[in-house]
Amino acid sequence: MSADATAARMPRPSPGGRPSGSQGETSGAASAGGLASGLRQAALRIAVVLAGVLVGIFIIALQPGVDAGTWSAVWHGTFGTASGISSVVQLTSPLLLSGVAAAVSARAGMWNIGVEGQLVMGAWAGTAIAFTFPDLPGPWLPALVLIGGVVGGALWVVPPAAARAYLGVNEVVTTLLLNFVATLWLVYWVTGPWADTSFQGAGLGARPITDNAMLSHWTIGDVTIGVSFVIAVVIALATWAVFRYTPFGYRCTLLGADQRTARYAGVDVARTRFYSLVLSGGIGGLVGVIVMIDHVQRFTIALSTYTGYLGLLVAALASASLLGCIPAAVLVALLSAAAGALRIAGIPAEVTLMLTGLMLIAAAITDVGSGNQVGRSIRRGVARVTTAVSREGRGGDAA
Amino acid sequence: MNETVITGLLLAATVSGVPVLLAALGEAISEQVGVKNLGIEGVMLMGAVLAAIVAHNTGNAWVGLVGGALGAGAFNFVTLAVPNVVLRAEETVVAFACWFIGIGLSTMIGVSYNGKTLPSLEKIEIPLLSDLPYIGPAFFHQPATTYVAIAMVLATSWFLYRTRHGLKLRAIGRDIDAARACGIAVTRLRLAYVTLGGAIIGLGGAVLAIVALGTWETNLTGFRGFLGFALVIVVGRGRIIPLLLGAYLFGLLLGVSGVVQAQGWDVSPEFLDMLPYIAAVLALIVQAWRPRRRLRRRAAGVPALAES
Repeated sequence: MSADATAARMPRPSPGGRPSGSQGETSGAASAGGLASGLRQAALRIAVVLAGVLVGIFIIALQPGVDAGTWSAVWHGTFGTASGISSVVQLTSPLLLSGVAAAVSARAGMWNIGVEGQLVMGAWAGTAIAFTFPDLPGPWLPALVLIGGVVGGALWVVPPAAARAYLGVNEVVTTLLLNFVATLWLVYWVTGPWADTSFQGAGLGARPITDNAMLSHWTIGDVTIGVSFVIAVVIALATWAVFRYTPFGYRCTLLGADQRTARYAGVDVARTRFYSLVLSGGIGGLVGVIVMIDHVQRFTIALSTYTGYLGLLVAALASASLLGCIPAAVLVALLSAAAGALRIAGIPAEVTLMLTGLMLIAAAITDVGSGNQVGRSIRRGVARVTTAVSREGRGGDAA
Repeated sequence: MNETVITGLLLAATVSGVPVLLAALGEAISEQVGVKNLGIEGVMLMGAVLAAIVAHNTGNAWVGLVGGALGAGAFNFVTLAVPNVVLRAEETVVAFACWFIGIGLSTMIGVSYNGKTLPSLEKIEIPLLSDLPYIGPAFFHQPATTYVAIAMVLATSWFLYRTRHGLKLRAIGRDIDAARACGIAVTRLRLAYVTLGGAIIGLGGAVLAIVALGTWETNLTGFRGFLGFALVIVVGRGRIIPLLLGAYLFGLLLGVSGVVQAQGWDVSPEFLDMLPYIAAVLALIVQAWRPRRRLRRRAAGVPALAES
């Protein structure tokens, strides 16, 4: 019966990491080696981002209050200054984790759209721990808070994960709906039990958590890099290793690639689904605490600024490749920083989401899995260029 | 519980239920032709913001409603229908893109309309019936949009199950290959009805802004679109009339918070606001639990173009 239930569901994300899709287009890549294929993927994604950005710039330029000064502010907010670069680095770590969370579930053939809710619950659990043990010394408190975040996020995803794995309930809708519940939960705590009426920052906030719980930063030149960045990259690498080297990761990938094959190969499909969603939720919970103890410093409405949704873009740009999430996250962080700078022209922060949407459409159209003519011709063009480039690069060896 | 509370609750349920009903109806039509419109929330937001802008500038609520519906239909056509049906891009990714663009675009173009009072609709009083205790104000003293929404549901059900054209649509949803073999213009009809569904979803947003809340604010839909989406799954594919009951129940849960606050009872509004969303998740789980005998619609999510 469960096979029956799953056969009628919506198509699943194609697992990444491999240049998936129609053989005709990828067989050439196999002979040209991984370089051409990787280059082609990257070029395609950059084209996608550029297309999205161009359409976005066009729409933004039409808005009142946007002039040359706005664009120079964007430059200063991203590459132009050390503080711009620092903010890009700071934005990268939550986006990377959020992308990894999305990619983990995508590789097992599911969509965890609930990262936004998981990050709230993770941050809530972390805050509760920080309030309970304010006096723990040194690195112990941040460590405990981080673990609390993982547990909080993982627990929040358990109901939808169990429903998906054992009953076949569409996880997209349930995780989404629970995001709103989590947001209301956040509002309850910051206006009720933990309210801080003197808080002057953006939105409502809880009492600040102790400085002991904060992650430290290094300063290289004028650029600040947080421990959070290292944590995020380590988690991305660790997750990559899990998928590359462990039976669990292999089962997930197999399941994402083809459910029936996985079943015949003896994979416990329900169990694998459940644990991959829980893993994804745990990483989602980590996003929340990272944002909190890296810079927001308290449990506040400002935690929930669509980071969980931007992770979808990160994963989509990386084709759900866990290592690919790293450059993709930097790219999306750049966008977020640019959108932040746009605020002086009265452009709301939600503009990031608009750009995200445009890029997701562009990515979906050009994705190898979709069989349309537009995407195919774009891919062919990109492939020609990249193959030529990589041949040239290896020209010396060949001769 | 006294009479005011019950009357108020029933009234609040109708007011909050109509936008959810329209969103669910639009999604149900879209599903009839085999396309899940998870961008529903974004389309609804666009409907709401466009209705607010048009109504505020023309001073006419009806023009606003029509403008919102048409604009949302066009938005749905560009961001969801074409990428999904014609370009055959991955359904869920496109749907989320549609949602995100809806949030971003509606927030951006609606910035200067935040909190502005919009022209409202006059309520139509049905003689005698509107004096009934409890249910009078909720069902028989309502703006025209409430009656229109109910009529649209009935009309859709009649159209799908009693007309030849409706049979074609159901055929597409059930088996796209068989439909194509019968000479049905699958791609064209899908495009048309996904767009029509989008316009109805947008009308839901427009009603929310103009009739239910009387104003526009950023992200005003608050996941009501997804409630409508969940409702379509819970009610079961292809069933139209039961949406009325489901939407009313969601409306009841959405309305609880306002009524309780008006009574000054000491319950945290956040927990009351959670009710409809938790109920939707539970309903989805319960629906999956019971053994199903519904006809499976194999073409859901299958691209509309033949393999080339």
